[in-house]
Amino acid sequence: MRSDTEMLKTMTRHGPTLNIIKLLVLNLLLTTALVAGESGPVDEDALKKAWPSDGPIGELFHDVAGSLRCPTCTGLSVLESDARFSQQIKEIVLEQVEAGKNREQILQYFTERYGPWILRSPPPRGFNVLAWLLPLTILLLGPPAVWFFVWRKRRVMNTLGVRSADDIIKEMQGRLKEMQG
Amino acid sequence: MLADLGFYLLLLCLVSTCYGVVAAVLAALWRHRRLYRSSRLALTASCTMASVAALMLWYLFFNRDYSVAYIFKTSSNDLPQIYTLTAFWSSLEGSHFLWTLLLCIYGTIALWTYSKDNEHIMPYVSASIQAVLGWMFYLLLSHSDPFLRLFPARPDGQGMNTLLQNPYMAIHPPTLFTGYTALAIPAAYSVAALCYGDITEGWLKTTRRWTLYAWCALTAGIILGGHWAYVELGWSGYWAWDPVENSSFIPWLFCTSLLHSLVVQDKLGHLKRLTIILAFLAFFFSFFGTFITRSGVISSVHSFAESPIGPNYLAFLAAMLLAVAVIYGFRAPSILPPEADKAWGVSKESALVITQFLLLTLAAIVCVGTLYPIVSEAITGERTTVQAPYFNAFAPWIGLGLVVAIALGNLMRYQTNKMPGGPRLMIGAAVVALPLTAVLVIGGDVMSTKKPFNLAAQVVGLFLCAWSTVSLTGDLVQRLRDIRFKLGLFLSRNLAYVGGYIAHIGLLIAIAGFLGNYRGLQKIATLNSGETVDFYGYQLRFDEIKELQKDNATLYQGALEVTRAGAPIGAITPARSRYPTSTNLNHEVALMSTFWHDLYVTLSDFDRENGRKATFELHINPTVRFVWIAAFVMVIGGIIAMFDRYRGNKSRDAIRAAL
Repeated sequence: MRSDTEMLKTMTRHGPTLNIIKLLVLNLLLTTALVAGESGPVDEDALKKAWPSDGPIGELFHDVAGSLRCPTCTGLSVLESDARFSQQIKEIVLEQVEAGKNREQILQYFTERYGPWILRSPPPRGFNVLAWLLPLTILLLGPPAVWFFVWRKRRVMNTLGVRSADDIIKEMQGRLKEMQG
Repeated sequence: MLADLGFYLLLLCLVSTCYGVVAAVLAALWRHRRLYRSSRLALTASCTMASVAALMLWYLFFNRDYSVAYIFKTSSNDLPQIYTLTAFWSSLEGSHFLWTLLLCIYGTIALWTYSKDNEHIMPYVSASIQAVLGWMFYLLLSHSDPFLRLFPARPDGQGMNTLLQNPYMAIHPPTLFTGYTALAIPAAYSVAALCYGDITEGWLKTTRRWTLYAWCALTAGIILGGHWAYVELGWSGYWAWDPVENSSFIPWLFCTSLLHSLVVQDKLGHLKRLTIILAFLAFFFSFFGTFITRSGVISSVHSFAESPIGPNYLAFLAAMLLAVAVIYGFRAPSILPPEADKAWGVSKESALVITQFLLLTLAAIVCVGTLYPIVSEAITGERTTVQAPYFNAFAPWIGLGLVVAIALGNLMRYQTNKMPGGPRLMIGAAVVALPLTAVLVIGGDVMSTKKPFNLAAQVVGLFLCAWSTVSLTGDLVQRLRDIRFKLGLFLSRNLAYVGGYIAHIGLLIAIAGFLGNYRGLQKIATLNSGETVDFYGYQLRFDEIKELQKDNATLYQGALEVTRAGAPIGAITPARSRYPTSTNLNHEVALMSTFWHDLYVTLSDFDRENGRKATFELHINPTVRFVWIAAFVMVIGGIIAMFDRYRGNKSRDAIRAAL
């Protein structure tokens, strides 16, 4: 019935192959398949645990659980998510907090198991330093750069003998004074 | 039958836009007016045909015609009638079609409502718009045909994504897409200005209006999307720095920056090239955002429409960038510098440049953060995550910088370092801001914040917002006093200023609202039937889980009686809902709002046997309402500014005469 669309489709299928993008898409499709598999069904067995929110334990728990990503959602930390995977992670976090481990040790534990991917922001080591330095560079070097370019432009204009209207007005006023004086 | 007709209509659209591009380019080269008019007619015809095709698709949706693959995919028999209509844009094919349709409509409007002194650049505008449109129609036909047939027709569809069965999804995508596509017009005018060789007076007027229109739509669209996330996803937030959210925020930042650049150009004639670049980039990034959403390159809660369309988008983006870069390289030198040379001292125009710097820096940071996982994985092979903590490390600083820049910039004047009444106004504003901050601190219950750093950040932030608001208002009063409070005179000549004032106040309200996110009061409570939980002055008494049917969803409602200070103030029913087409349980959030905070309750789990026990997640979200109010105020400001009567170079001459 729709042979023309099919034809268009096959035509475009042999378009320019962008290998890197394809690989990336494939990679991410795997991830999305994981995501699609579990987007937060309610645990049938047990009612949800009430996580501590006060005291030093509650604070450390919130801090750590807020820095780990929910593996099966997008954009959320395990703290905000009630997917089954996140619940398990929260249980481990709580266990370790109660065992007296500090923030770095717990994060280290998860990084070893899942890789740095589990952290919500890339740890500033190795190549990741770039992700942190880039914004800082723009913020710190930006204003001097703007100032430098504007300033330099004015100088170039002056050395080429192109004068600003202000200069001309000043010169005219000076000559007027001379003539009057 | 109708579906086939729809497909052929789209095919005709492709043919007609292709003709439109060729005719417009030739018309520009030969300076042939009738040829240009035929190109304009071609776009008008495409617009009509695409609209008819859209109506057909809606009709098919309405009739639940499952012989159309897209309708089979996104609709089902149990879907309420209203959602069969919004299912139009609930997945790739339809949202792509909506994008294209809106671009057609705005392009046609732009070509028919040109100003007389732009007539000579209109062929370039027409060619640019239709070149983009042609590509969109081609993609629509080849990769995402909404009219693709499915044989044999099924008796029932697979159903719409349950998360999208929400009233906000009826309005959020069209609003956001309006913003994206309206940005095409300033971009087209920029390319036209480059091709023609200079910016005309009418250029500024038209570009400014379209940019404002796009800005209003983007602002409304982004906040509506946030509202959808807030009431639908059940994690008690409205902004997660999710890739799709970011990709709508980046064009907004460019668009805002463009508005400020247009102001400088309007008043002083400077920054012409910057304006051209920004206008193009704003549209480029709205396209780029679409690419990110559609391609599956980055996964996100908002990507309901993924397909292998990605590489095609990428090729087109690269081609667009290359084409404009080449045109810019050849033609930018012919853009005449402003008549007067200029020293950039301490003045309003410098403040506007700094504002643009802050906005563009934020855009760069958001862009880096969004793309970093892809880049990092491609280079080092290591998977990384960039989420809220990364963005929150930078964004608040830039936000506060903007708050200060708004106050200082508005007190400054063009071309002079004098600040009439400036120091007095600033000190006076600081004094008046103190009680205002106190009201915000007490009303918003800022002192309940647990971490000292967050507490300090909020108090300082709220004070700066209050100070900036009072400074702005002081400046307005001062200007009014200068003309002896003749309001009629003021409004007839200063709508742009009034609109800008309102929009800036809106942004300050929004930032004050964002500061509420630091407080984070929450509690998880597991209750047996009849038990009560105390939370932040509220007492919530759980009765039992009721199962009931609402439209197509089965709701498991946990009814909670709410009392505050001993007085009953009503019942709320957080629920989980099960839709026939999905096995997941969705959140149905229960909200109880006051001016200062929202009581936000979700049902996280319940006893399936007898419904006598349930776990609730309780949140107090302070100042969320500020954000919704702010969006409204900002859009009103933008609309008022759109009605400003353009006075050509007169304002610029007036400034020069005053010196």
